[in-house]
Amino acid sequence: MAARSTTKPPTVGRKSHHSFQAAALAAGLTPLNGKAAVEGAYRAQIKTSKADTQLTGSVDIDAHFQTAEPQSPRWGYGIGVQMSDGSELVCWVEPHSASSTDEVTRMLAKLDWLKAKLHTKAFEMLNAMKHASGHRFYWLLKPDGACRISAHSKEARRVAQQGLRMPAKKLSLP
Amino acid sequence: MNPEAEKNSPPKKRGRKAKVPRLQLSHLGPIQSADVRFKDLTVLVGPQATGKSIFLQTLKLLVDRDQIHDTFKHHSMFFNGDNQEHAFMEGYFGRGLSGAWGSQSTMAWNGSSVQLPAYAKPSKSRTRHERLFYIPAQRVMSLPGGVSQNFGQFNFGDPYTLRAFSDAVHDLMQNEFGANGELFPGPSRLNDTLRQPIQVHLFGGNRLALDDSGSTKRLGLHVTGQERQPLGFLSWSAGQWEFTPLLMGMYWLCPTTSRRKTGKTAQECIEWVAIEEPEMGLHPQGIAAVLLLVLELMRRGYRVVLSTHSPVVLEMVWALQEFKKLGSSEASVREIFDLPATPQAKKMAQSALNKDCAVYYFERDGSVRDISKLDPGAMDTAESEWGGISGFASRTNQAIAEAVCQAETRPRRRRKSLVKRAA
Repeated sequence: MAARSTTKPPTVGRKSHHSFQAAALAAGLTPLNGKAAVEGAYRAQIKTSKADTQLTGSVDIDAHFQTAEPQSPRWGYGIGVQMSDGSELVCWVEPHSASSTDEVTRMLAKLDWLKAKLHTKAFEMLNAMKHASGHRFYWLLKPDGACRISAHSKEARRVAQQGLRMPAKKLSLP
Repeated sequence: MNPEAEKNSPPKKRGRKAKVPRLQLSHLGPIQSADVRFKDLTVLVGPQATGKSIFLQTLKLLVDRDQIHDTFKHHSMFFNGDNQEHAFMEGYFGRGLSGAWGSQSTMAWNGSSVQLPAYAKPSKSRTRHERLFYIPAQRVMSLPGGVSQNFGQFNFGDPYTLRAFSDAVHDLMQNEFGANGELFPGPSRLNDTLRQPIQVHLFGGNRLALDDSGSTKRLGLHVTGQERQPLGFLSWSAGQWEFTPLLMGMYWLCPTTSRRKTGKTAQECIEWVAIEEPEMGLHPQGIAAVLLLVLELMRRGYRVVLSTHSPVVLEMVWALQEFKKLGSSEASVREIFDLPATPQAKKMAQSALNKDCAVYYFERDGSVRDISKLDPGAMDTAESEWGGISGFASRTNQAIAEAVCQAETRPRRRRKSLVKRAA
């Protein structure tokens, strides 16, 4: 069970000044430095988009909730990113196959699960650590993974409507 | 497929794997550098004025050099004297295009170096029949007002590919269809699998016929219930204008008569078919009907080269390649075209799975890139966005995703008031 945070959440729309490590601990998660919580096979695919930003930590949400919610469509990772102004935000990354459009439904179920978690008291601090334009949810493909969701498909539009980015083999965060 | 057309199935020689034809060129018109290997189906994509047409016209010249010279000669057009190269290039490519080949230009056809200006003269080859049938982008001009035009009715400087195509359509309409009069759905050149989608999506159940009540044979669309007064050409939809000459080209390539004037069937002569923008003016359902015709050409053994701006064309190519990778059955091909499991449809779908496809992207900077994999997850955006064809859709998806996340960050009360205001 995740610990409850007593920290007052910042006003929505303003940059959060929580640290990723503190927010993750408040959610009962185990933060690790840099990309250490991310499975080794995916680490090389995740980078920061600018030289003056850095990855501050990561959490394996899927592993954390495996015992408590074995049947739930659990999301993979949260990754902290420190911006050039010193503020931190969280990018949410799920490595998942895009081998057919059927995967869209599975992926969106995971996203729903994550969004529900973000609205719990325990995840309040992590939820507040978002980009000025909102949360960033990323769908990561294996380097050799096939993507069979074309940009013109209705499934691609379903993905967009839920605020999820299209599958990619390389991520530049945020 | 009707028995007569079945008889005209591709010669066995085209069934075996031959060497892949290859065209390498540099500094030709807007093209800085290209290296294209032609598969059973080769698709060219790219923005306007990046050299797709001049590339296809060059291919035609390389393949049909002597037949082109013979055609000009037949129409009393001779290219002699000091200005021969310039005059031929203007006469063949079109007015103003003789400068496409410059001092820096180079070209190699199947590995052998070629000087394009040398093609201003015929060779001494014995092969003089047409081997590449070209359906040009300006095909609607072959039927002004619904009346066909022969080669000589065009002017010097009009592209040869348009004149030659128009002449083929004219020959069909005046001679082969002159007696019968009905062009669609009447002739049995296309089987039901091909005919049904055309009838539904392109002619809306109406009948296309030649009206010879006046002094000239003119195309008319006979609307059900208004049989006496056919719709004149200019009253048709833009898509019907564009599609009708394309249909005539298909008829030319899928003959019912066993022999042509030359003593050979079209299929014995023609090895290549080039079609510029087959999607012109058509709704995606109409484009799918045209793509079935393309699959039929491939089934008959033609090597097809298309230029396109349509995502529908690339969706098909992508699907065919993925089906091949996944070991899918012909049923998957039929599924994308919503085809029933008839023997004709199954045969065509199975044939499509046995073909190889390639896609080349003509970029604005003059380079030509192989993007055949069309992987939507590719790191190279030229490939993942299919040479810019799905770039707008990709950006739309991205922008919507960001807007959704942004809306979710706004306080619920403010969001509601914004929604109310918008309503």
